[in-house]
Amino acid sequence: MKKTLILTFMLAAGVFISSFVSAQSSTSFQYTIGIPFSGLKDHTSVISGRGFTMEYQREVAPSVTVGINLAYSVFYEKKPYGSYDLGSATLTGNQYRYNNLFPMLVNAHYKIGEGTVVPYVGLGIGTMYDLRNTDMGLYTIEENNWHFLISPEAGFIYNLSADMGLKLNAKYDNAFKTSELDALGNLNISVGFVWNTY
Amino acid sequence: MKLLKILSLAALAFLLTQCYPEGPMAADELDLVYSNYDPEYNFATKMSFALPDKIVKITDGLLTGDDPTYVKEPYASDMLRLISENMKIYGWQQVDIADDPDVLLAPAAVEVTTTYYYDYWGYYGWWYGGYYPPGGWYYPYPASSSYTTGSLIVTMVDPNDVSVDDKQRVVWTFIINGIMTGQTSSFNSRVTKGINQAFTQSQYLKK
Repeated sequence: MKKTLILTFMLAAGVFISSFVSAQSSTSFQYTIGIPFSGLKDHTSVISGRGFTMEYQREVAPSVTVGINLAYSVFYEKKPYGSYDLGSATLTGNQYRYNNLFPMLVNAHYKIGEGTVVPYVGLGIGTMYDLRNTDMGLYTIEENNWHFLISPEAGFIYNLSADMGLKLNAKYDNAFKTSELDALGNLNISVGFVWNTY
Repeated sequence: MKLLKILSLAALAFLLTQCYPEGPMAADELDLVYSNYDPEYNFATKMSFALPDKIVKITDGLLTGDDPTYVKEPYASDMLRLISENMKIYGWQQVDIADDPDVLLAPAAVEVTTTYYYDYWGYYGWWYGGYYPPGGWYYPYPASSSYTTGSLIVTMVDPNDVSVDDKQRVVWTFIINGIMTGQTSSFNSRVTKGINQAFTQSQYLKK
């Protein structure tokens, strides 16, 4: 147990440092915080601490990788007791709002330099599924929308060893307006691990 | 390195177990006041209303033909008094059913999980006898079709506005969702808040 704790501490402190080795492919898994913008902020304005991101990248040219990026974030906000009109109907109560976001991207990264710390920039294109619920009492208004999605991204990888590193990045999901819902913005701040395979 | 990979995966697995947002934690947080009305109806010309002295329970037994049961006292009287007071504050006059009221109020408490109450107007006759037509009532606006247990539903009907198929026109409805669930100690404050809110959000009733 003590050894595990020490190793965990060393991991957190970034003690494992080795020289950078070019990877043929990498898989990452990250914890994600979401900061809402535009239409998402209008519905749930509270920052989300519930999310994760998975990504697979394959090197196709020196410093260039392409792959897929899948993520999930849930935004939640309790609105105070208040009245909401729906046509001639009025509903009054506490409102509980949820947005479950599932962005799915094909993306590319460009690595800037080599070494232990490797910054990169990226761009993704794809779709985002938004499952939105507005709960009052035991009733819920549920909305499902698929958005066209463009996501610029920047971050860096801190290589802990030849086959593993820490990854920190910021990705802005710009989900376009649909026929039923306004555009949504979500700034994802993610931290996690990346595993390289050769 | 293998241990490092296991540790990193364990840390991420821990993060994934962080729970989904909690939502409501107490019965009163689920309280919901719903109201709807007929925008075509001219409330301004209507002055009098009748209100029964009991609140019937909509139960499975009632739906299958059993005798009606009623909300026990003093809860029923408290709710009826609040409804009556709010109507009077808005300028309405309470009269007996025999005095040809402009509108009738039909309160009911739902004790089944869900029921298609809006089509179930049969209990209406127990109070209003020959003053209601055999066809029941109809909604000129979209009506909620099911309610949760413990809800108070009050329907306002114009007995003088009868359709060709002998149905009376519903002109206003309010529902206090789940008010008869939860702790007895908080019942009075919740029901007072709910009924007062139903009138606050129905300003079109005001004279």
